[in-house]
Amino acid sequence: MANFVLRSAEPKDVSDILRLIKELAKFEEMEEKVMLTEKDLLEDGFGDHPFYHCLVAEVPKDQSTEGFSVIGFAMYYFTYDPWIGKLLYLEDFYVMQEFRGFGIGSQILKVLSEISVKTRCSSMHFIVAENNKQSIEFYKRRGAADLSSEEGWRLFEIQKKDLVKMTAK
Amino acid sequence: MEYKLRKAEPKDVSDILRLVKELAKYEEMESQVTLTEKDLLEDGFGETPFYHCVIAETPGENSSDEPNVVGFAMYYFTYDPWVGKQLYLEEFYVMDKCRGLGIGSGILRHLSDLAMKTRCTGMMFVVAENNEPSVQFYKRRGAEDLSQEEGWRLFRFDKDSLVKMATPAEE
Repeated sequence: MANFVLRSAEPKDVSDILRLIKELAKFEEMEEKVMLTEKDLLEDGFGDHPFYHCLVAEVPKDQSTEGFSVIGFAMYYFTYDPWIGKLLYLEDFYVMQEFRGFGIGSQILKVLSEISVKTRCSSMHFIVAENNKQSIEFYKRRGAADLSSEEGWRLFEIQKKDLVKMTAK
Repeated sequence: MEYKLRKAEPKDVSDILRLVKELAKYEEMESQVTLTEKDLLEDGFGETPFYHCVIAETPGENSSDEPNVVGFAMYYFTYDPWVGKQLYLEEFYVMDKCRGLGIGSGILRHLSDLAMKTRCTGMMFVVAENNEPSVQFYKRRGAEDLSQEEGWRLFRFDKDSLVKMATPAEE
């Protein structure tokens, strides 16, 4: 199997991107938390200033399930470390269940690594849920280090309601 | 103390680097700062800025003196696939001698305004788990520890691993 192609996402891909985001969220039992719309994805990814970039994995129509040819994606953007400069941040990474085990995930990671090196990023960062043993092994096999373990970093968030509270003071 | 907050300009890169190094020194990691003023200039003030900075300055000793840059926050925009744009607070530091005067709170308020104006749904940042004062500073303002609540762990592929994974260059 798996004749597949990896390419940069285009505006026409936003409905597939949203579908795959929802599928991944459903897998994490969080589907109702996805508030983003195709319109947001279009404005935010394909406007003057893209806030994210996507790679999509596509298979020929005759191999696809339910008519979908886009069967995997990676969403990433660039961040900045004040000690070493540009980093590539891998935000979302998903291949549909029935297309796993064919090297699509590995290939996506390979292309992302090339993008990182080409854009002179010093490293790639991403978060993984601590109970997602499979993913942790997938990344560790390829040399990833758990910075939460090694350096004790904890990820924090201030949500909108509290940001609004701070603006009022 | 009177202080002013403003957007960083190209002329500020040497102060930004100085403060980055001061904060790194405080974490006993000063030797890990390999960034130069030239990098900061290209990366922050070129066609596509990879970061933004807010600068805090206090007046000089005499009215004719240049103001002193005493604090900064470095941030950029990230993207949450569920809710969209986020403001990511990367670095946040006020010089020791200027602490306790509301400068930090002022910077955080400024960033909150900015997040709202740019239609971000939240602000994210990492804190070292043993940095109690900072953890409390943020929790007092409503911050949640997602590492604790949602079990996220931060991972990294360093350059060596990336090069190993990337396609080898043609010989």
